Amino acid sequence: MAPLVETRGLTKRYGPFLALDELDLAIEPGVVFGFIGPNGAGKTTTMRILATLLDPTSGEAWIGGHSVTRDAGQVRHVIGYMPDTFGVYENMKVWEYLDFFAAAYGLPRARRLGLIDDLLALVDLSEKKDGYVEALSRGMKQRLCLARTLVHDPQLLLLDEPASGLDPRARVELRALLRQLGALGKTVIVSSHILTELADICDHVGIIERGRLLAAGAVGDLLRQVQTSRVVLVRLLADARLSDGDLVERVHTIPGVLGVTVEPLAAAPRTEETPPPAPPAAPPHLQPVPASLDAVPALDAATEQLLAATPPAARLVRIEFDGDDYRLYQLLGELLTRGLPVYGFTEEIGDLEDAFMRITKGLVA
Amino acid sequence: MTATTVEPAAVPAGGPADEERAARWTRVQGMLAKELRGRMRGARAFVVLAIYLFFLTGFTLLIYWLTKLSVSSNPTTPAGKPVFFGLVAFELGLVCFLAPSFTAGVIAGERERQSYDLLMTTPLPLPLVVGAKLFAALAYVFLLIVAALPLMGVAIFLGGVAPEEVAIAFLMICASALAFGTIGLCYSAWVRSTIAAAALAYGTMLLPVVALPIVFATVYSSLAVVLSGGNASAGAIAVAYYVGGFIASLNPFIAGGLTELILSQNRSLFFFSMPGLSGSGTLYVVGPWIIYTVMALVVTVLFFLLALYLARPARGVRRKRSRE
Repeated sequence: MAPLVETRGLTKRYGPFLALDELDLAIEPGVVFGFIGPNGAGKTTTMRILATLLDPTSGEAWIGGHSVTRDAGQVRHVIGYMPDTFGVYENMKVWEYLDFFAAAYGLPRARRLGLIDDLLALVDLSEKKDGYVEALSRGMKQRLCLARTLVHDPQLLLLDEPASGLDPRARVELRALLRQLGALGKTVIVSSHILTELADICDHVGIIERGRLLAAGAVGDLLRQVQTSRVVLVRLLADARLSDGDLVERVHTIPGVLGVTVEPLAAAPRTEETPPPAPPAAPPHLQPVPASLDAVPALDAATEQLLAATPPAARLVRIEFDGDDYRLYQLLGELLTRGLPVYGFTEEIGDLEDAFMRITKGLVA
Repeated sequence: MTATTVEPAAVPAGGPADEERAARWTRVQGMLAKELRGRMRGARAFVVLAIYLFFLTGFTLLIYWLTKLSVSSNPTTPAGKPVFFGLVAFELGLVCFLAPSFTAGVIAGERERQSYDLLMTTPLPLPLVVGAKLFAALAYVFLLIVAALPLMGVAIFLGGVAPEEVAIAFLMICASALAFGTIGLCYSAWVRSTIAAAALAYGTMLLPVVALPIVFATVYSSLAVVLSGGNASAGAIAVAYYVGGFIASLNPFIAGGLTELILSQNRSLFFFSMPGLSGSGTLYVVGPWIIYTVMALVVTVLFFLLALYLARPARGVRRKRSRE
């Protein structure tokens, strides 16, 4: 499928400052693309170039096959742009505001009337139709601006930090609206430096820092790319006979294990009547758990008493592991074979924040 | 949140050319409606107009009263002329100050309220955006001018004022509004602050209106002494007259005064000859009001084109690229 948005060697300089450095990007139709980067990374510059508001110093960008520098007029029919900070015409009524922009796209009056109602319903502002724009809250103005970007049914929405300055409720509503637009099949480029905002609405992301695109692709692919090793979280039942040091020693010698850290889990209060749970039986396809725990030297009576009074907490062991799924299966078997009271075994899947922190180097403050 | 689908655009009847023509007209209507609505909405426009007419009427009555007092010894002297002069001077002065202030905020204001980018990402052509803003700003100035026409009618009624004088005055006032309004528009496109744009526009307006007469009077009073000495050639005298006349005609008040002088001598309003001084031969002269009006229109066109150049959203970038 031909990309809807494509940039090649897109570069932008402000005097000696390099805002955008040879950006190569391809975004296919129907994708909700999150543009991630710290403040000053070049997100807004890219957005403004794509919105035909800035000329690049070098390189080229195309939207829907039209060059943003040579066919700006055509590009403007294809895009709906919402900048990070924007003003609205305060002395207009809500419907007049949308009507003006719909007229700017040449939509005939008869069609505009129905369209305005549809758009106001979409952004949940129907009851404000005859109110003045100045009377709207910031979140409402943001939604009105989003409706404005949709008046000509654009193929591409360019949303630059759409949730900046919004309160939590307005952010949630905006996220829901963006998800809805994604479901409608719109191609959306949304920029933000707040990763949690993008995590649940984007299916593709691009990470940019100091004007350089460091990584781009589907969220899942990107997360897999940036993970150099797998991280397994193992939950162990409380066992006073097993010190953290012993635990680390037992796990570290398993092939493929790169690192081990142990931390206590909040222990569930144990009643007198409830006996401490026994180590689980080994799965039939694994070797039986050896009586290796019996080999651990017994604790002295004082320690036993102390532990009985304050039972040890269950522990979470974070194992950094290098290996495929079969090696992971073997790791679980080894843990059980080595007598560890495993009751939880999960692989930690990284999130956008992890990926971002790994990919970027914090070059931009 | 209601799930609503935005329906695709319906294809209007007729060919693509009709469709494009209709879309273009819709854009023009939309832009004009938006600008005029912003300018005229609310009580402010009405209140300003009412106050303006109140003071203008008071000013007219004052001139009439003073005229009556001064000509009481000769009751046949028409009172229309002073009233007419007073009204024209008042309106001209008003236009010189109001037009730049009305246009100084039209683009800078959009930038200040951060709505300019939204406008620039629509398919609205830049000349339409800039032109509509100028039109809406000057429409109100023209409303003030037209609202004063009945008072000029009173001047005609009082006698001594010819209809062509009223027409020329009206034309010069309108040309002034266009020129000074476009100067304000240009600065509005150039700088980001409305206040700075207004200050620059006033500075530019004061050049022909205030500074030029002072410089002209100083230079030509010295020159007149030299020319009347009898040593200057006929060509030099002619050039001095033409250049002097041209520069003097750039000031609306002087141009209007000279036009009135020509009219009082029963010469043609458009083109006439006059005997030269100190043996320079006959000089052929164009009416000063024509020079002023034409120059005002030239300034209007030049500053409008400059405003278009400066109003482009990426203008700084393009300048930088061209240097590279």
